[in-house]
Amino acid sequence: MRRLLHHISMMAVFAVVWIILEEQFSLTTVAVGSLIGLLTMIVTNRYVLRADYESDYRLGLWVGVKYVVSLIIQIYVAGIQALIKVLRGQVHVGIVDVHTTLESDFHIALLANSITLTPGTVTLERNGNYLKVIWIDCVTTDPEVAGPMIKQNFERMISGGKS
Amino acid sequence: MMAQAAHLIGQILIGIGLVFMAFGIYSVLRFRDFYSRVVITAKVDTVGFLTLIFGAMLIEGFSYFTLKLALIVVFELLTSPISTHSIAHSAYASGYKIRKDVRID
Amino acid sequence: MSFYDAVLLALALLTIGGIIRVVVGPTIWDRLLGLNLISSKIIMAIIVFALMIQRTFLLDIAIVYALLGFIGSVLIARFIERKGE
Repeated sequence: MRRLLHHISMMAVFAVVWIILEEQFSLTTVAVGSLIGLLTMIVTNRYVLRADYESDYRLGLWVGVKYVVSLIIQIYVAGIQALIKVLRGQVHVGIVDVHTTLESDFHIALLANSITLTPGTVTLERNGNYLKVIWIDCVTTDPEVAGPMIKQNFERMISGGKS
Repeated sequence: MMAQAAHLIGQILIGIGLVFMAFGIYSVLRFRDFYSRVVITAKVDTVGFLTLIFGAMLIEGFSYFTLKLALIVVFELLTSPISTHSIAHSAYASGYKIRKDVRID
Repeated sequence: MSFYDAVLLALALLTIGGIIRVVVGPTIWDRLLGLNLISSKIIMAIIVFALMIQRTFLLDIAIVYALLGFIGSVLIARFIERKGE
């Protein structure tokens, strides 16, 4: 049952994308969009992914929307801070290790993505639960101290969608 | 009246986005070290991109144009960090070291 | 000269900055970074142009350009990793 619900919500997302691309809302576009979404899901399930959609992409729709909004706010805040640092010339680039408590690969990928998106930090490499991050203002190389300054509240945000 | 105000605010937002992008280009030309370039530039550029698209959305109002712009924003949020990461990781894996004298010239 | 003309002109000037980085760049990764910047500028120019002439099909071109640029830069970055070995 949960599996069916998950598939239907994914299909709805694909159909919305199709309607936006087609630029008209009618019965035909909804039907064709759902059909193409179903086909895409079958093909990627069988040939591209190692597991299936349900276990790989586990993020609620509502959590996703909240996450994107907070991500955009965070991007602006960090962007202005980075600009001020550049203009003052306080640039000490360094590489730190960051420890994360997230478990699934998809969540770690999302965390790395959002660390890269916030200005001032770029993810370099992942091994296990550690991420290597380039940091624009490297005041410390201690993972315990640097972790909360880099991750901010993304970790809580992402794992809130596990439920 | 409302439409005119939205137009004006949208044009101001586009201008702010251009300023952010100019900072991105400025810092890519100014810094000497590759890592500081990649850290600052790529993402200041994303801020400019988002600001410009929000300005365009505000000018256009609610239509399919705006929805397509929202689609572009989603694609950008997903793909832009991956390409930045792959460039930085490529440099790191090939043994590029941070220079000690990271100063500005 | 309308507002959109001015914006397009500014985008063209910014693209020249990216081209300078591509031509000068000491390492190959600097060139890739400049290429990335140029492609994002081009996407923005397409969006502003679509806003100017009020056509939505140009946005499809912007989407396709964004996806192709992403795939291209990831492929090149993977290819030149560890000097192509």
